Amino acid sequence: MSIIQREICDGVTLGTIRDSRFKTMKLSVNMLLPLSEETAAVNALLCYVLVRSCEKYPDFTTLSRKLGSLYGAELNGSVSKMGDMQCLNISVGGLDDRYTIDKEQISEELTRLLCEVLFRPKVKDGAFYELDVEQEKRQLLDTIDAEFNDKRAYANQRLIEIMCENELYGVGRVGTKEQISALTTKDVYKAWQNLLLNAYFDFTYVGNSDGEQIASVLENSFKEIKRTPVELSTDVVYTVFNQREVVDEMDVAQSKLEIGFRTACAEPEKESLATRLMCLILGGTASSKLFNNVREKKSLCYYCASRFARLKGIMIVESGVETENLEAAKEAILAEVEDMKNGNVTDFEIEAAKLAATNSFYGIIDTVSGTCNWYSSQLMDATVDTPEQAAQKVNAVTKDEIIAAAKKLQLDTIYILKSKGGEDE
Amino acid sequence: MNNITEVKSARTGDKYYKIEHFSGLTIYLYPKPDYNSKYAIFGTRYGSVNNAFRLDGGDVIRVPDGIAHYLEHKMFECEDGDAFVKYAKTGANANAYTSFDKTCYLFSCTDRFDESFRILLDFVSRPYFTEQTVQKEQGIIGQEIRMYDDSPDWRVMFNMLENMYHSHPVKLDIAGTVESIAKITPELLYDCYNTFYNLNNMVLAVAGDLSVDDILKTADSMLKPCEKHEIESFFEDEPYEVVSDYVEQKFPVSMPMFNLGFKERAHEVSQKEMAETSIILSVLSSPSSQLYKMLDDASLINQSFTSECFTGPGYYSFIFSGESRAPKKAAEMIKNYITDLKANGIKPEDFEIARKEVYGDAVSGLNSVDNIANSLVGFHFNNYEFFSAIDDIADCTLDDVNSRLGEILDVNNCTLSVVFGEEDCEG
Repeated sequence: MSIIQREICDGVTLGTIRDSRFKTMKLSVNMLLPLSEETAAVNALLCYVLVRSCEKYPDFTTLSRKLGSLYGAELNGSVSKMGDMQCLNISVGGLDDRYTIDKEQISEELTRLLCEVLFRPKVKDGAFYELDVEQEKRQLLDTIDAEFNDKRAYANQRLIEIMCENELYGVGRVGTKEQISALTTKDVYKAWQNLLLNAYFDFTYVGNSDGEQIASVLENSFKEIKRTPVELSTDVVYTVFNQREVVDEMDVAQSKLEIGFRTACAEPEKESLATRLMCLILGGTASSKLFNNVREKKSLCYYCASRFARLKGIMIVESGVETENLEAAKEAILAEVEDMKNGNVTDFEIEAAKLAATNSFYGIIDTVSGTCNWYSSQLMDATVDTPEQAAQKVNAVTKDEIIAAAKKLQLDTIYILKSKGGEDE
Repeated sequence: MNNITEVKSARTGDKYYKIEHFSGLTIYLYPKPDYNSKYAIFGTRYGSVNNAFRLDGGDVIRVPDGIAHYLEHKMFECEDGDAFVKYAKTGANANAYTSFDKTCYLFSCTDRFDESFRILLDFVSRPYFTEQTVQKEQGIIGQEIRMYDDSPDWRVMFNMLENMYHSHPVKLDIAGTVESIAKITPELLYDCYNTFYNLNNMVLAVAGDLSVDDILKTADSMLKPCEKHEIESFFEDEPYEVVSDYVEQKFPVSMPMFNLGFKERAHEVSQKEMAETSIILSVLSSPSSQLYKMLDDASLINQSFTSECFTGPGYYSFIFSGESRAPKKAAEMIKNYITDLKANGIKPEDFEIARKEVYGDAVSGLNSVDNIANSLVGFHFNNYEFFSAIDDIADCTLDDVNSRLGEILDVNNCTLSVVFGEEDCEG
């Protein structure tokens, strides 16, 4: 299954993946804006307000009933980061037209519904409605609280905040609680206008049609708008200037250790694929060095894994550790990294990582959402590959290239969330 | 001889094969052309509720609570090593679970299916328990039981079941208690295994880009014919009435949680009845429903609000659950709404939306090999047929659903279970 790309207008693209295997379809749009301290909160709030109602379906119940009548279709919003860009995602999904009882054309209706929420939200006199905005504010604040309660996610977020304090990437994806609380209905309106005029819109459709109809609905919708789309860009830091270690103390049962490295290589550079594989060998699978040596053999932590932010050129090792093991775990992790730099990588480790990577590529495209993410996440990559193409490239990476990627690793920041040692959480 | 039937669905364009295998096992194969993922699940009609039984009219055996789950854990240990270690070599993701009415062993993979399939058929067919290995598991399962004690979702449900059922074992924790599992011996495990892990009492379901030959070439060589026995499970008589209508527990939760359970007269629920009750539950708890709106407008629920039909051998109930700042008020509103709905009937447009939601959900489920294989197992044990169950939803009428509504959800026979944090007392 490959993707067919269309340009709808300036900074608006539609990727179509025609796949007859599924009983459902999905149309998803990533709307990208540069991350910034000033706008992260309002953009995030906007995204959630947009999917809660619109002019035509002015409250949650009427909107839910519309979705219900379309065989329980879904309309969802979410916010994430892609490199230095903030990504607002809105998607609609539902039963494929072939399987409706009364031959309803769900995909067309859902495309129109997506356009309703994007272009005709419920607004009045240059502002959104107080009630809608306040409700979503509460939800978003609850989400932030929940993220704070998830100490693994929280420690990861803190590391990025500290390591990238002078970079856009250091901005949280939904802003801060203070920023969210201070937002007005007019702020949200301005953010909506800015979104339509300036965001990069990347639509992805997965389903059993050629996407012509969706393209024409989208072309009509964007026709009237005079757009000046933003550039998609991410700054990559190649040299570490300020290596440091930061410790926060908190009433948690288990301490968290987060280690950030600069990989000095990022998408769309060709070598970044070797960096991806290197990161998998280090700590990305159940047969990785960190999992086997630090967790299983030395029993130094509950989890120990590495992840590569490929657009940003950052690798993060995360682990959950008993406080008395913090130093030992840190040393053991750094020793594994040194070991790789010295060329200690076995053929078995390379094969296991390649197998895990290719298995996951092939598994991902067996779901509608997985297929959608697979393609849309490659927006800023050098090329847009099918799983087969990606598997071929991964399998062609050599041991020398992996070691070369390891040699480029530079330790940047160590963040420790240290348990105060109390029994309570 | 294997007896192979092809079952087709005009509505969804899919098909599956039902194979009555010469060994006594029923095998389902649901081909998913062009899928990379493959999923296999091997299950027995044996869960935590089957704690008193007899074989071929012999003596009734009463076994310790939690033994089905214990047995599941012990099955992974083979004479020649741990099954998980074997799977690690093929790259499959393996797992198992024990529920109230079944025990299932499963794996998923994209590659090397046959090797993993052999591991599955092999270890589930070859029990190996010794005094020593059985002992060793007690600590591990004891910890698992304590972990469940710390889970508010688990507590709120079991507190409800304990207050709904007088004697039916569905009110007992699936894993048993630290005391009950201490009584488990290798002999008891063999008794349970030999009774319930008979291929005639089991089912195997596979979904993925595979052919009947792919499955049978391995199944034929590995599965030995199994003699059929009569297995009877015994449950004490269960009164119609719930034990009590309210139970609460303090718990460190940020928001109180509730389960509101309606007890029904247990009977074999037909496929048609299942379709009708699914639609009724959608009318009552889907975000598109009037009741959801009323509860949401009164700030009595959040997005976690949901409902389910909870049924198995000797038990049948409907459970509404969620988080709420005021669970008693939420329960009152649900009961009042049900009373009104029974008096006035479901509105045609509400019925139509609910029918489409349930239908859409059932057809969407055919995207996933995991869901297909798990459903085939559940449907087999309930004597349902996978595709006609979807037709039953499509063919449901408002009259059917309204008359079904009259028979279920007795607002005078329900129990509310609540867990709440220190400061969240409703007063």
